[in-house]
Amino acid sequence: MKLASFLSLVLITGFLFVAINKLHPVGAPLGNPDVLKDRSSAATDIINVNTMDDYYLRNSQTETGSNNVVSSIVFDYRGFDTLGEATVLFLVVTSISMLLSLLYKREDVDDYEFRKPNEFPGDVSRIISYGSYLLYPLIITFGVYLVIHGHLSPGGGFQGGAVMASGTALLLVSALITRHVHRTRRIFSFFESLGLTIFISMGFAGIGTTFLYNFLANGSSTLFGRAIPFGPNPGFLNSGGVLPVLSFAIGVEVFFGLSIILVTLFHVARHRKDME
Amino acid sequence: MTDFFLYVTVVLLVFFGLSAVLFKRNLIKIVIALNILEAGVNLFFIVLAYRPEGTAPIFTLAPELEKLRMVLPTPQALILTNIVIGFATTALMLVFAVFIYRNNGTLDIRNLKGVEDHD
Amino acid sequence: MISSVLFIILSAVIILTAMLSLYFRDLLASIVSYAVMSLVLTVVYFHLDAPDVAIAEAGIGAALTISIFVLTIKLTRRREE
Repeated sequence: MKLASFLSLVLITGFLFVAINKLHPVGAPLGNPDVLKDRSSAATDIINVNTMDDYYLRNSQTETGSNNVVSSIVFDYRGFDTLGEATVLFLVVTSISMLLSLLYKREDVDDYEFRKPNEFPGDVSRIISYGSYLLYPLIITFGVYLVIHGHLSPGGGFQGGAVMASGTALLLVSALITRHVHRTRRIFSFFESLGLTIFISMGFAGIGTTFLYNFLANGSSTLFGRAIPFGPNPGFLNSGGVLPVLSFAIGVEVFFGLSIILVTLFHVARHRKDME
Repeated sequence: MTDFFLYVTVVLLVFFGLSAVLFKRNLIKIVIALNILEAGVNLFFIVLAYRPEGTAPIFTLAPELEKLRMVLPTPQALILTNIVIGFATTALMLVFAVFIYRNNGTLDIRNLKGVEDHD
Repeated sequence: MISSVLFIILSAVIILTAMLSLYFRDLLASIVSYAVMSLVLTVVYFHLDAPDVAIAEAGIGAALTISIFVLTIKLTRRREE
């Protein structure tokens, strides 16, 4: 058994070392490097386009109205893929929540006192609690900025939700959320389901053409539909079509889903003595 | 040649992760090893998309079009979602590890109930 | 080539921290080492012109992963026997 493991390890690693010699060198990817030059003003221009990435770079700004090409791929061209990822996240959160709820009794849930920041137990440092009070609004603000500006600057629903969930982890470490775990989980699971519901309903709203069709882009300027010309620009918040809405939905779902995982696991870890 | 090290880094990360998955005995160590393997795969995709003297694929306040070259956006979009899903599956694996520890009293995979030693 | 020197150093740090995180018998130490690897990977992603991925990796790899690993260790045991 050990011999077979060793042989397969050597085989796979050797194959990888051979394979990286056959790949293109770093810094010379496939596609036309000058694909952004000499673009006509048409909505879709496929002259000199060789690969899929060339098409995205050349056309995503005029087709979706989003400055960030990565966001336009995640939420528009590959929106169905993102729906699958959101469903996987939802399933994982559901199964973790179900499994961990076997590990604590319902009655020993609300037995913690809520602590004001000057009444700490001995094992929680005062610096940590005051520091988390100071840092938490900044983290949430940064996460909301990332979600809202997802179609203009680096960011989007996934990153913003992850950053806000790290704020939840900060609060848990500094022992400020320890009470009403059931109520917290109920609220969080409602908002998590709300995010996925918004995503799916925005997908069905465009079903006149296809599922998840970007029906708001290049339309009314008040409904995120500002048409932007090709090229660098300072960025406009009301562009992007359905993309900011989907980014918001994914941000809500990722934030509350990851927070449910953290809150439940933290609560079970606090009850470790009762389990044994 | 200059950035060939990145490919070697990818292969070494995959090698370490795979060898630890095959030969380590502790379940949490195996989860860490899977995370390292996943980091190697993520780095591989980002390295594939790299283009020197390029900018990030974002048009906001970019240089003017004559000098503008962008890295490939599709691998970045794939890896972006993969990182979040990787965290979720890691959490699920850890919860399974907790349950295995509660049922068996150990995290050593040799001592689990119903597992025979084939060595 | 300043950038290739930078990439060599960062690659060396990544490989070193990955090896350390698999070498330590203390699981808490190996998790901290994994977080350092994620942080250095964030720098690599940023220099490879992928700021989206860098933000996601910084939030998840360095903050959230380490917190759920620490909670799991609190529920199980710390030493690898």
